Parts: sequence; C-alpha cells; structure tokens
Amino acid sequence: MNLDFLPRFRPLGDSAILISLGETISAETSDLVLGLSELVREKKIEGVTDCIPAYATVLIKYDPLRVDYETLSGVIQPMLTRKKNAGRSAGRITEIPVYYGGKYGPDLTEVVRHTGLSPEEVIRLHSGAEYAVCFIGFLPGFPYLSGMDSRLATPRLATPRQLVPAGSVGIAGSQTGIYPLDSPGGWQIIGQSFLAIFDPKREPPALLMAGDRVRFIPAIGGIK
Amino acid sequence: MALEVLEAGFGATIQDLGRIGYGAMGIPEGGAMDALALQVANLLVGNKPTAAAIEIPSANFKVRSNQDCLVACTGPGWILEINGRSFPGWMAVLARAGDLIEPSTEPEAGRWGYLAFSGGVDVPVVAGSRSTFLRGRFGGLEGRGLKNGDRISSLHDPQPNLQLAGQGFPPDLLPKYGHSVTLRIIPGPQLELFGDGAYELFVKSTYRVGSRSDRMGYALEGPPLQHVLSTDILSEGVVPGVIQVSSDGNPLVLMSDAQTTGGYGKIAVVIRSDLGILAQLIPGDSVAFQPVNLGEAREEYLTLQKALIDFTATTTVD
Repeated sequence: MNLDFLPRFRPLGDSAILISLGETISAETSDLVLGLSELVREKKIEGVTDCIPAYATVLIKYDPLRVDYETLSGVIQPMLTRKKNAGRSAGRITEIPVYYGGKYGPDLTEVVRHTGLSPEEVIRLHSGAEYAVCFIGFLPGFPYLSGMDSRLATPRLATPRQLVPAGSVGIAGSQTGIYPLDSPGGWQIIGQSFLAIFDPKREPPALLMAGDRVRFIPAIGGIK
Repeated sequence: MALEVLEAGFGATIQDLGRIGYGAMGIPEGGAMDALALQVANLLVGNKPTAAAIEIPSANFKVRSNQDCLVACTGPGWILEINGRSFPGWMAVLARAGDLIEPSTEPEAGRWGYLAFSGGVDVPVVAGSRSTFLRGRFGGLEGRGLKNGDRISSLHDPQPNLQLAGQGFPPDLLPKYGHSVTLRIIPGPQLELFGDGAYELFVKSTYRVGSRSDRMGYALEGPPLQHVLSTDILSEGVVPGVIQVSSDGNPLVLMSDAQTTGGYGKIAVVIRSDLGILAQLIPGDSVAFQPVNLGEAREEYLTLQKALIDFTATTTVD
C-alpha cells in the first residue's frame, strides 16, 4: 500500500480498534480501506469478530477473551505495508433497474428545481454513471455510493419523511443511495427499484458489499 | 409447542446474544440489552448461554406452559409468579403443563426482564442469530414483538432436569445494578473535536437517562459538550456503548440495535462489562462515568466471563 497519510490506530472501547487511513472521501482512501478489510477477513485473525469498512476507516471488532488491543494491533500493522490490488476495478457490477420520477420519485421535481437540469438530464446523469460501493451502513444493506455527477447534488429534505419505502433511490448532498428497508429518511427520492436490496431470508442478506460497483438502469414505466 | 403467550404487554421480543460478524452488511449486533441476565437465565434452566429467550420490557406479561419445563426470570428486581405463587428471580423453577407463568417486577426496579425456559426458543436463525431486530423486521418471531396468542416452540426437548430446580445464581456475582450508577469508560477516539475541558466536564458530571431511550440508544441529559471543530465526521463504524455527541452537545449512548456506522464525534465508550448495568437504567436514573484503561477493562471482562463459566459448570449436564 502507498500511504501518504500515516495510519492511526485508536481503541473504540474495550473490544474494537478504529484504524484511520485518510481524512477525506477519495477513491485512493477507499481502496486502502477495502484492501485492508479484505486482508483482515481473509486472514481469519484469532479473536477478530467483525470488520466494518467506511469512507476512511476500518473498524475491527474483537473478543477481549481471545486477544487484546496491543497484540491485535501488532498483527494488523504489517498488513498496511502489504501490496494489495483490491479496490475499484475488482468489484462485481450490479445493475439496478429504477423507475424514475412520478409516484416512484416524488422529489425528482425538487432535484430539477434545485439543479436547473431537465428531468431527462437528471435521469441520464444519474443512470449514466458507474458507482462504487464505499461501504454499507446506516441500515442493513444500505450502500454508501461514490461517483455521482456533482451537477446532481441537492440538499436533504428540510423535514425527513416518516416512511421511505424499500427500494427508494435518493440523493442527499453529493451522495446517492438506495433504501434497503422501509425507513424514515431525509433523502430526495428520485426513483424506486423493486430489486430486493436486502432480504433477511437470503444468505448473504445484503445484495451489495463494499467494493462492488453499481449501475442504475432506467426502467420503462417511470416518468411519463 | 412449549409456551403460549396470554398477555404480551408491549415490546417483548425473542433475543439471544445477537449477530456477530455482519457489521460490514450494515446489520446491527442486536441481541439482549442485558447479555449477562440473558445468559444466566439460560444457564439456570440448563440451556447453553447462547440460547434464545424472551426479553420483557415491562410487567403485564403472561404465558402458559404446555409442557413441564424449567423456567427462570432474571433482571434487576424481577421475580416469577407461577399460578399466582411468587418465586425469586435469578432462580430455576419447575413449571408443569398448564401452569400460568408471570414474570413481574417491582415498579421501576429495572428495565429488562429475561424469561428463559428449558429447551430454548425455536425461531429461524437469520444472519447468525435468533434475535428480533424490530426496525429491520427480521429475526425472532416474524421480525416483530410478541403478541397475545403467539405460540413459542422449544428448540430442544424441554424435559426439565429436576436437579436444577430451585438453584439460584450466587447473589455476590450479580452485576451492581442501581438507579444511580457509575459506568466505566474508555476515552473516545475524537476528543480533538470537542472544546477544551469538554471531556473533563463529561467525566466529572452526572447525567440523567432521558425519556428518548430504546433498544437503539439512550439519550443522556446533563451539561452539553461543546464541539470546537465541525460536529460531523465522516461516517465510520461504531459499537454498542459508544457515547456520541450531536451538534446540540447532547450525548447519546448507542445500545444493542444501534446502526453499524455513524457520523458523530464520540466522547467515550462504555466498557462491555458495564453495558448490562447501563441497559437496565430507566429514564430519570443518574449515571456518572469513570475512565479506566484497556487493561483494567479487559481484566473486568475476564472476571465476569470466568464467573459465568464457573457457574456454567454447576448447571451443565450435557
């Protein structure tokens, strides 16, 4: 790994290590994060119970009965210098059909108003990009995606909705994402997919994993 | 079928020790709010400590046993009534087919009671656990709280081991539950986000548990903790016990069903051994914090687990 940023190891309580690999959202940092979490998972390190990648950090949870902070940090440190070609090009591509606009995307009009683009342009830009799943969080299976065209950026709703249906595709600031479950939420909803993003009866339950790539495909019958 | 729910009250769920290893999919750990109480309830009736049992947030819960089985109810102040006769909590009691079983608690004694019965609860395993995750509507019984008329099956033959009946958990091993507690913490990883003296203020203050508290998190009311830098950080992984501080300066401690990532600064993290004591606080209770180092926290956890293992040796028969 090529590290401009000095990795920081810090305890998050008495059974987790928080490792910071950068301070901003970037493809390079995300590659480091995904590379490290993949290594940690592959190595099946004694005492490690979970590994949660995020934008710039990897959280490693451990069982204090089996390992302690110092020992585990010592095992992980050398992994940061290991060359690892994980990351953006390695991920699977998942295509997600989306019904844009109308009753499926009640906030498309707000995104149009805010961005000054036409509805067709919003849909073209949103479905024209390839997104990288930086990590999964907030809700089971909820993907934090990078790669949205900056022209689509629109602030969150001033008042979050009580219920956003599962499959809703939304924009919040410069981020886009898709709701895996019915949930309260404040993202601008521009469309909906009927693909099961999260299904507890499936193994694994989450459709997407960190490192995957995603394309949204406009489905017929969306905007009239 | 082992038990039939006659009165479900509100918010009773099936729980075990939760989901380990699913954080990268955004699936919370979940599981019993007071893991020790759940484990002891299981051990008392001869189950493995990892078995699923019923977590009860308030009294007014009643079941009928349809088979002979051992039952135990744990949690601070919780006792068991069988056909109207009172039995202590933290003790295995023999229930006969047809008996009415009613866990109850002195008013406001403690928040979560655990009712375990021999054989353990049989519900499908979802993502490695039988725990109910209400917000995700999965796990437990159809992903929901229990309701009147529910039938709860046992995973193994509930044939009671009569030797265990009447056995209790040693009182000196009970967690130090109370309405005014001191929880041990590890300082948070983002103290630089907070103003000078904010951490010191946090450590020397007493907070009250707010009314906005549930299986996801408990709000803490007390001196606000000012941020100096931006209140938000890039979202990153969190764990139960994390005390995060929102932009208004109010701390909130994450509990079992908390989301797996969060974007607030964290002033401290409650150690694992004290999470059950925290979980049992009710709104209005007061809580102070005492920093410890990782070595002390680990020692405490090993001692607690050793006590459980020693106790297991007295109950396991298989």
